[in-house]
Amino acid sequence: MSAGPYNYSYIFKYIIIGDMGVGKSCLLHQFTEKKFMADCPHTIGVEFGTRIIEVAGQKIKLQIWDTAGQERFRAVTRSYYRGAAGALMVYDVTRRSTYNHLSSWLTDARNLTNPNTVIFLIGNKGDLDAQRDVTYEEAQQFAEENGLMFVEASAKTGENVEEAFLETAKKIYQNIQDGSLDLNAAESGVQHKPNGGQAGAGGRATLNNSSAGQTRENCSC
Amino acid sequence: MVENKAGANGHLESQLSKDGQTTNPLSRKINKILETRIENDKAAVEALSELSLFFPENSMKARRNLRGQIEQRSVSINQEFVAALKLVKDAVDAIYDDVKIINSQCTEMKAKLQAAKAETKHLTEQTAKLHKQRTTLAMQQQVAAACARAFLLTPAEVALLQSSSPRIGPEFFAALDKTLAIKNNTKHLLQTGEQTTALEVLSHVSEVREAGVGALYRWLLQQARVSDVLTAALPTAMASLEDRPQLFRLVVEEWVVVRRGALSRNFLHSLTHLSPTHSPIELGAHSPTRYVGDMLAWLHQALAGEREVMGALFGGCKSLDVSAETSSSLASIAESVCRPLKTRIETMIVSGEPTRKRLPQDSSASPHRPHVSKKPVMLYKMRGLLQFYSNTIEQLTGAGLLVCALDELQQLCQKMFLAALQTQVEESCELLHAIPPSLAPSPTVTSLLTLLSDIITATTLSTLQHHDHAAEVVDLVVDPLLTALNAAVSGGGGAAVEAGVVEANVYLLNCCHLLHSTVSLLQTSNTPQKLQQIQGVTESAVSVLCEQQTAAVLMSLALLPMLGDLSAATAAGGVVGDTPLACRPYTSSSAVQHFLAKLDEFLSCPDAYQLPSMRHVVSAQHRQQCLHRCCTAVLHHYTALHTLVHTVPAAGYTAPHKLMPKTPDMIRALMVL
Repeated sequence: MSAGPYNYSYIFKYIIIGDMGVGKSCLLHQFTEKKFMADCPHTIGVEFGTRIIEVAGQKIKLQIWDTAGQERFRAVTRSYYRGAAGALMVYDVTRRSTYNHLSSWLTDARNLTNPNTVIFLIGNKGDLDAQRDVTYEEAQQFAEENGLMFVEASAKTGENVEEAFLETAKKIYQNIQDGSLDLNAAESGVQHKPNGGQAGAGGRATLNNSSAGQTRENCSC
Repeated sequence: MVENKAGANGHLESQLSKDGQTTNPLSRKINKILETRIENDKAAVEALSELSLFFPENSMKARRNLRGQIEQRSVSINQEFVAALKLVKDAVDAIYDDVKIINSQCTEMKAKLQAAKAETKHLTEQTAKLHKQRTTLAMQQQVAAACARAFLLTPAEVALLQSSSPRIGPEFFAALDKTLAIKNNTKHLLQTGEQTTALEVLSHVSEVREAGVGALYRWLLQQARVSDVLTAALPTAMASLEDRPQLFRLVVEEWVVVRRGALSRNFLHSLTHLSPTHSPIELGAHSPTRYVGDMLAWLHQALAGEREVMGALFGGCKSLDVSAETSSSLASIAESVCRPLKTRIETMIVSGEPTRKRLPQDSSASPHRPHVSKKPVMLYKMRGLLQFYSNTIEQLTGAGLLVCALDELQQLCQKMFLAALQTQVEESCELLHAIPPSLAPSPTVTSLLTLLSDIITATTLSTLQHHDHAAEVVDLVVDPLLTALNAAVSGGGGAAVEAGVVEANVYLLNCCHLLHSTVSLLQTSNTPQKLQQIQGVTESAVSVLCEQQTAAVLMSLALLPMLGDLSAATAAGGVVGDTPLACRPYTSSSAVQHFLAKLDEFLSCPDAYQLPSMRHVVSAQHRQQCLHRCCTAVLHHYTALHTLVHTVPAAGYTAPHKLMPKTPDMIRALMVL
């Protein structure tokens, strides 16, 4: 009897945003399935993935909402920002336009999430260096100017994908430890399971939609 | 010693006798005696040495006594011997006694031994028997143990299963699984004929199992009620209840009830609860699409979470279709928000226009403009939203009440949208009979067309059904509009009469132009057809305008009075009646000269001859078209006149080259046709 799926201390809500075709769904798929999805169809609205990771010995369940990049879904996807603890903002290093649109995505992210939301900038398709259209340095500078974490990744090779998700979680966890992220505040995008991780195999883990947890999530939507 | 001597003597004698027998017994005897070597005869030597002991001196007396002495000695020796022998005899007797005793003891022992042996044999047999028994028993024990394993529960297990509030854990499930295994084993037992035992075992096990299942059931119900925690044991517990469909169902129902409560509570909470960073969803109610979108997005996320929980709950089950079961449970859970959601969305759909209240500056900014409500656009967007979420939620819950409710809302929305659009179009069309002095499309038309393109280009979430509706919408707007415009212009409405035919048609043309440019951008399935329709109206307006324009130009070129004679002369070879054309008052050389002078003016500045209203035609193309047709008409008449003047002498014109030096081709070139 495995306690695996229930055995975690926190749930972090993530949202992945960025222009159409930058590889948001592929990043998610690479992270959750460790596989590259070659012919990824356009996301319709929003999709959902989870994975349990470990940060500082704590098991954390990531609940990731992958949004459609197409403009026609903007009205829908905007409803999913609220209560995200982490926002992964993705652009395509081979298409400058996707990089140019980052400021609009960032505005959305800032307006629709809470101030503690960790925003992580990912330059995807890092494997296509020959077709590169956005340099690492300028993106790095953009990230610094806007206080974002940044990495170039490749959903195809899996390079830095794990790192991006983990670093975001580490930063969120650090915010919790600092006390800058108030677990009791709704909208934090984090749910704590007080008797989760430590209890071990036979132990109990709070349902992710427990009435208490739900309350938080509610407001987060 | 005597015996020895006697022996020796005897020996001697026998030797002698032997010799004597052969030769002479005497000589033989003598020889024998002579040959006798005393020293070689040990007995003799010994006898002699013995004799020397008591026969110290060889005297007569001694010799006489010798015999007695020897006899004496012999007696004494014999006596000694007897005495000695007596000792020996006694000893032997003693030995004999001892031996006798030993013998008797031995006999006794032998008897005993025999007895013991007999006895031992029995024992051995017994041992062997016992040994065999032991083996049998050991085997029986093994069988019994196996039997017990197969058919009996340990007291600990029984206690665990029958306890009123057992600790639900691996041991409990192991015990419960065992009861099931025993029940299965019992079936084999029944088949092998051990009916009584089997039935006994069965009843006992069933009883214990019943108790265990009961306890498990109660525990699951309790877990459902305190379902803020999900224990790792839950999926196993659910799997254990799988063979009890009724109990399983009841537990699932309990879960569903609890989750329903939680979901609807949380839904209402999130609608109204104020948090430090975000306002409650209901605060967004002034923007219906955002409000509805937020509610549905919340619901989608909540249901995704619920689906994970229910999926985990059923995760251990083997026989049932986990995905279908999860979906149906989720559908039941989702039902709980149907009513609050439906009432809210219905209110949004049916209620008057919230934006009107919120944004009064809209109407104040353009008070003279007829108000064109954005409600149809909003409803159209909301319909798309509802459709999108109906599909999205259907993926989570399968068909269910919530999905039905969303579909109903979507239909309602569609109906309301069409109704609102129709009303809007009707209202707008009623305002169309007045033709504005600018002859530009009235604001009503402009806003109606803006509305149309707003609707069609409104972000649609589903590409699939986009075009059907869009075509319908285009029909709904364009057809009445065209009809109304046509009616306003050509129908006996006062407007056309007031404004004059030219103005009315300019107005119609301008409206059609706008319509055409709007519709051509929409790219719906019926766009070509609509464009054709618009083109038809445009054509008729253009031809009316061309006629008017041509008539006006012909009039100002003084060509109009000539036309009757001109066509008559063309038909009759240059004469009208009997009079040559040149003699007719309107076609005399001076009249022709007058016409040509006017024509020169016209050619130098054709725009000056345009009807004043024509300047209001928005489309340069249409203006050009009118001018072109007008010029064509003029050229046509010029050509006719030129032919008559130059090639028909009967027409009576003198010096045709002087009169009309320009060929029709030259005129055509000047007209830039």
